[in-house]
Parts: sequence; C-alpha cells; structure tokens
Amino acid sequence: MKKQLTKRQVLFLVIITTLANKTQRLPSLISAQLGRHGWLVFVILGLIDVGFVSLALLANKINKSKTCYELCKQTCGIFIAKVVVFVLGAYFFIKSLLPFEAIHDAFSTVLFDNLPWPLYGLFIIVAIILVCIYGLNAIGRVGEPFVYLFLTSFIVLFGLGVSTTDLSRVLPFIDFDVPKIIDACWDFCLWFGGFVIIFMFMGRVKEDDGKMGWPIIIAVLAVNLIMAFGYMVFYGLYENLAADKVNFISMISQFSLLNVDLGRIDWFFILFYQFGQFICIGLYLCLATKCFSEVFGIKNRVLMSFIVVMAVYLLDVFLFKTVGEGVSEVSTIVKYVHPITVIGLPIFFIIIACVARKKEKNAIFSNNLVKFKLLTGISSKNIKNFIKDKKVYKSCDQICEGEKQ
Amino acid sequence: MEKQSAVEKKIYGLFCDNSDLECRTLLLDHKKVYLFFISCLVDKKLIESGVINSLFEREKNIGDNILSSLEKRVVSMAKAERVQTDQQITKAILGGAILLAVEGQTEYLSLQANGESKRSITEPPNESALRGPREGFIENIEVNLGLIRRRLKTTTLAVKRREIGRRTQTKIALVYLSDVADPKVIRQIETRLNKFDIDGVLDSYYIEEMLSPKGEKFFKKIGSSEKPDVVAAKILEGRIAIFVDGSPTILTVPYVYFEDMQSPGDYYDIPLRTTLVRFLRLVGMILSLMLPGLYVALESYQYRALPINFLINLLNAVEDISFPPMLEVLFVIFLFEILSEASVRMPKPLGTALSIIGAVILGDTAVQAGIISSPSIVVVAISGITLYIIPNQSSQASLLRTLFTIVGGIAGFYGLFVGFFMVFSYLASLENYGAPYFAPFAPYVATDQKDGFVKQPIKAMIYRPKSYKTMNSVRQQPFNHHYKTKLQNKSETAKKTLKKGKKNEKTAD
Repeated sequence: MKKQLTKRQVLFLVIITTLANKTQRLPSLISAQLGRHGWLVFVILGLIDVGFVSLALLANKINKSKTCYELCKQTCGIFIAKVVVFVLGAYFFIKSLLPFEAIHDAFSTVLFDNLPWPLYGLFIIVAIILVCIYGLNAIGRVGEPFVYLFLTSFIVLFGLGVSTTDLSRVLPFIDFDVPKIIDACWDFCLWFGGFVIIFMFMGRVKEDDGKMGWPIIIAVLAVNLIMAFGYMVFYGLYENLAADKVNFISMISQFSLLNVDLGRIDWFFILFYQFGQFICIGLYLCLATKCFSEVFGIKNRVLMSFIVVMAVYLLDVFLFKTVGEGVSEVSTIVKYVHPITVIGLPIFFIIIACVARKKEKNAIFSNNLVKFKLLTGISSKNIKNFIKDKKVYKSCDQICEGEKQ
Repeated sequence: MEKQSAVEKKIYGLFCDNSDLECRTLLLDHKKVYLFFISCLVDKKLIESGVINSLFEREKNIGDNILSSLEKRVVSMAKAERVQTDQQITKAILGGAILLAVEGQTEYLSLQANGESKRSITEPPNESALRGPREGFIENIEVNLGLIRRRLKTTTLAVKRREIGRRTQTKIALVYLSDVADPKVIRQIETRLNKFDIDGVLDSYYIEEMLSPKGEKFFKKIGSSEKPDVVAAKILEGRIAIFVDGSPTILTVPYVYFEDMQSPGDYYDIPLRTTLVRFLRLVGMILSLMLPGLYVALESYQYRALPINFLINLLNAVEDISFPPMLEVLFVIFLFEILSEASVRMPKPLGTALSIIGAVILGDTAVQAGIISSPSIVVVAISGITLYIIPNQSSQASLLRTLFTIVGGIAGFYGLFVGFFMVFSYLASLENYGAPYFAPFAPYVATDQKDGFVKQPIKAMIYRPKSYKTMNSVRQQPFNHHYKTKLQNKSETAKKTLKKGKKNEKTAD
C-alpha cells in the first residue's frame, strides 16, 4: 500500500482538527452552563485527550504497516473490523458537522448579512467532494502551508481580544461546583477528541526523519491550554453576555477594532481562519468516505464521496433549522458515542496491535523454524528441545537473516 | 524534352510532381553521376567547391567500384553515408543532404551539406537578466545542443535522439546526466513520445502538451526555458531536457510550480536580495490572481472590512458608475486583454500611439464618461503588471484572475474562499513525473528549502533537489569538507604516533 502522509502532515492535521472544532460555538455554550469556570472544561477534557492521544500514538507505533481495518480484520475477524470501522466512519461523519456548521455560521451571519445558504452551500459541497476525491494525500499537502495561515489568523484574532479583555471577571478561580463541571464535561465532549483521526493514519504514514509522538502530545496539550486561556479572554470581554455571542473567533476581536479607524480588518483573518475549518471538514468526510467504502465494499470513490458529503449538506440545510440547533442536536447524540471512540478505541487498538504483532512474530518464527529444519535437518520430534534453548532460537533467526541478505 | 534516365525516374518518382527536387548530371570516367538535392536545404557553394571539384580533381584514378572510390574522395569534404532503400533516400534528401547516384548502381551516397539559414545567438526577450550569461537558444537543435555541451563537459551527458512527426520529421533530443537523472522518468517520457503519432511538430509546445498527464490541459506541467545556463542547471539537478528542432524553448521534466518563482538572476545575486525578490514574486502572483476579485468582493459585499475614510473615497469614486462592480472590473480586464494582445501584434512604430490610446483615450475618457471608475482601473493595472512578474504562468494567471473576479462578484469572500481552495487543493493533489506539484512546500521537503523562498548561498546547497527522485543526490561536498578531512587525517596520524610512542615505551621497558 502506498504511504500517503508524512509525520509532519499528520501533526499539522491533528493541530487543525483539535483547534478548529473549539473556536466557534463551544465557548458560548460552555459559558451558558458554567459561567466564569468554563475554562476548566478545556483543561479537564484537554488532559483526558492528552492521555488518550498518547495511547493512540502508542497503538500507531506498535502497528506501522496495516490500516486500522486490516488490523481489526486480521485479529478480530471481518465482522468486528466492519463494526469498528463503521463506528469510526459515523464518528467522523458526525464530527464533520461541527466545522461545517462553523463555516455556515461564519459566512452566513458574520461575513455576510444574510447569505442564502441552501444555494450557496452547494459551492462548498462541490469543493468538499473534490477534496474527498483527491484523498488524504492532497489534504495532508494542503494542510502544510495552510496551518501557518490558520495559526497566524488565530494568534492575530486572539491577540486583538487579549488587548481589550478584563481578566478580573474570571476571578476567583477556586469556588467551582464540581458536579456541574463534570456534567459540562460530559455535555461538551463532542468538541474534543480530535486526535481520533490518528487511527485512520495507521499504516498510511511514511517512515521519514520527522517526529510524530511527542510533538502531537505537546500540540494537543498546548491547544487545549490556549483554548482555556481563550475562554478566559472571551468571558472577560462579554461576561454574562458571552452565552449569546455565538461565534467565538469573530466576537473575540471586534471590540479592539472599535477604537481604531481601520474597519473590520479582522474579517480577513476570520476568512483565513476558515481554511482550517475547511481542511477539517474535508479530512473528516474523506475519512468517513474511506470507512464507509470499507464497510459497504463500494470502491467508487466519487460516488461514495458524493453520498457522504451530500448527506452532511442535507442534514445541515433541511434537518436543522438553525446552526445552533444542529450543533446541540448532534452533541446530545454523540456524547454517548464519544467515550467509545476517545477512550475505548485507543485501548482496543493497543490490544489488537499487540496481538497482531505477537501473531506476526509467531508467524515469522514458525516460518524460520521450517527453514531451520530444512537447513539443519533436525527432526520434528527433537525440535522442541532446541526451541527451549534460546541459543537455537537465535541461531535460527541468524540463519534466516543471513539468507535474506 | 530530354528523356529521364532510370536513376532519375526512380528518385523523382519518390517525390510529388512539382517538387523542388533538383538534379545535376555529370559525366565522370564515361559514367553518368547524378547529384540530387533540394536547393533551399543545401549549401550551394558546397556543391560547387566541395563535391563537384573534388570529383573532377581525381577523375583519372577511378576504379571499377566507382561508388567506394567516390565515397573515399568526397568524405574529406562532407559526411558520407551509403543509402539504399526508398525511405533512406527520401530521409537523406529531406534532411538537407546531397544524394550522389551513379548510373547502374543500386546504392547511393548521401553527403551532408546542410545550408539552412539560422539566426545568431541572442538574449531571449522573456528571460533577460541583469547579471549572468546573455546567450539564448535558437531554432537550430545542433546549435542548442552545442550550447549545453559547452557548459557540461562530462562523459555522462547523454543525448537520446529521435524524430517525431510523419511529415515534418522533427528532430528531438532527450538530454540528461545518465548518472543523475531517474531512469524511470526517462522511460516514462519515451513511452509517451512513442505513443505520439502526428503529422507535424512545429514547436516544443506540441511535445509539452503531449507529455502532460491525461486530462490535465490547463496548468503548466512541463518546465521551459530559453537560456542555456538555466537548462544546464536543471540538467545538473537531475532533470531531463527535451530539445526540439525549430524551437528555441527547451522543455524540462520533472517540473514543480516553484521553478517559475525562481529566475536565472537569482543565482547571480546575493541571497538576501533574492529572498526579498522571491517574496515579492509571491505577493505579485497573489495580487495578479486575487486583487480584482477581492476588490469586487469588498465593494459588493464586505465593504465594512475597509477603513471608513477609504470607503467614503471609494464610494465617491464609484457613485456615478451604472454597472455593478463585477461587470465594471470585467470590462476593464477585457480592455486590458485587448490592449495587451494588440500591442504584441501591432507594428512597433504604432506602439506609442497605442499606449496613448489605451492610457488617455480609453482610460481617462471612460472614467469621465462614467463607464468605469478610476479605482477599478488602478486595481486591474496592478493586477496586469504583476501578471508578468512570473511570465511563464501569465496565461494561466490571466484566466484564473477572470474566474476569481466572477466568483468574487457572485459570492464575495465566500466565492473567493471556495474558489481558491478548490484550485489549491487540486494543484496540491497533482504529481508530475514523481514530483509533487507544490513541492518543496506541500509536501515540505526540508533540504529543498535552501533554494526555496529563503534562498541560501550556493555553498549551502549540498544536495540536489529531493522533491523528485535522482540517482545521485549529492551536488557538492560541504564547504568545510576539505578542512574537516584534513583535521581528521591529522588526528588519525596523531593517534597513530601516540600509539607508536606507547609501543616504543613498552618495548623500551
């Protein structure tokens, strides 16, 4: 199988998916429930993410050659493999609604007064279908230059917010209600766990000089901590009104520009920021397409992409009346699936990766044993005694390695 | 009319009735010798002074085997080759050779006597440089190959020749370093060339189109240059150059988009200045593509993004314009394209008149008449100038600019966003003879960044580009390599002497 992504590309895609999901509606929803303590949700769920992203990376490290479908198929059989991949596909499909709603919101209400989305949304649908057809390779490549634009825009918008906020509104830090925070963590878990994409990169990452493990862990931690601070800035700006300020990324910067006569120059950065959201949708739907193709055995990538992307569009336009409704509907359903994917899957994949590795080792060993028998002429009866002796095991490997060379 | 001999009948029979094939008959040692040639292809002086004179000078010594004897005589004057079949005969005559036929003989002698005119080597107008070589390729393939051979004095420089075009039989040469270029790419090119069956190839663009992948006809997929130093540098980087007779433009494969951001002058200037210029080119390219679309989007939908004073000025300037911004800008682009097209074809003396018509009459009067506004002229003028900052991409950029103006007019920022993303992701997905289109940035290739936007000194470019595969990736030894090896040698000898000293001490004990 052709390796499609570099380690650097994987890192950038994880950064984009981790950050893009949280910068639209989430801060306002959290502030409605938790007020000034909302930042704790980012810290707690962020730390959980860091813990499980480490497990996901470990699974990825153990298994480097097989895709998640192949790995499940080899160790648990085709049925379980299809169930696991279907769960992943469904998760990506539902997760794609978040950035899709974010783009919908950014264009139809922030950058335009009233954009007729059912018609104009079709443009973006065409673009997403194309991205899905081009595949992971293209998304990884697009992510490389655009991550700089995405992060620069975030820093600029965030910086504009920091310059006008009143952080004393977040104080005191300590008097929080623990059960309320746990409830909030449960309600908003959908926005976290962006690292689940790593499972789909199994067996698809090139073995280059780059590093993937620690940079991803640090990136996930940093993004969540920055968002925790971002929430403080946001709450400091709007206090009790924060719950009504739906679009975090556009709201955080607008006050700072009132004093200067420059117009809404932050709109340019909001526009650049949407590139990240777009990559996020493209990636989720491309992965969902891949998963559903495996599950239903459809090899026509164009058809599958069309079905999956159109489904997102139809859900967005016809099922949900407003953007907010869509997001809250989705979150109520997905919060039950979320623990399975974020907590269950890393553990599951580590176990099956270990099982697969053991199986592989056994297969190599038995293969080497046959060769050893042929080369040395030892009978099957005596071979058990030799196996017990580690020296024989070593020599068996050495003989086979020598043959390979 | 004089009756034609059997030889004449045969040779004339190979050509059409009214062809410009000429024949001169000579009587040599009681035997008729015929010289067939196409007068416009051969050097007539060579026929007189070279061939005929050398034949008559030694008339007495002709033996029985007249053709071998003649071959030995004229070989001092020109390259001689024996031909026999009809195909060989026509190929020789059409290739600018004189066909020497002797009555009664079935074999003929083909004497190379090319006399076609060729222009002198001049600086190419598209790639002029302030510093560096000023030579440019011409339309003659042999001269062009000579220009490369003069620069690359290596035994590994391979030149694979072939002919394409049933009627034009255009000479083509694949030139590469056999120990550097990827053989897979060479095979790929050859396979595509083999599939090409056309009656004529008149310029290298025919080959460029043919070598482009299936379905991709809009974006440039093959590199091109008219400068020998550029082509030589690309061959040194492991690329394959394709020379086409009759074209001064040499093609290079594999091609990455960033190649066109690099200019020959970049390598003959200080790296800091080159870095600055490359960033300017990038900004210029973005402006040429996006500025009209952005202007239309800002004027139509996102006007709140502009500073209030600027917005007031803009609104004052456009208040009398009856067309919507998109149509207005498209009209100015249309005018600009007409003027640029006319200025290329118009006789030079009329050029000044055209610029007066363009600038004063069309521009100023149209603004006064309220047809177009001055901001839209400024926007299209900036975009038009920056279009030629990367001349090799101007055709594509010009079309994309119009497209972005339309999407900017229809959907403002949203249209530009979706349009730009679609184009970018499409280009990012392309691979061209093993090289990703946006390499070395998407995917990121660390070593190739030394010749990226931030250019580093030549001594830092130790490796050949890694965006595509090469057989030998090392371009030069590190700058301090000799110093390092000297130090290493010194330390080794020091160690050895130390060891020797210890041994001596032991033996002394």
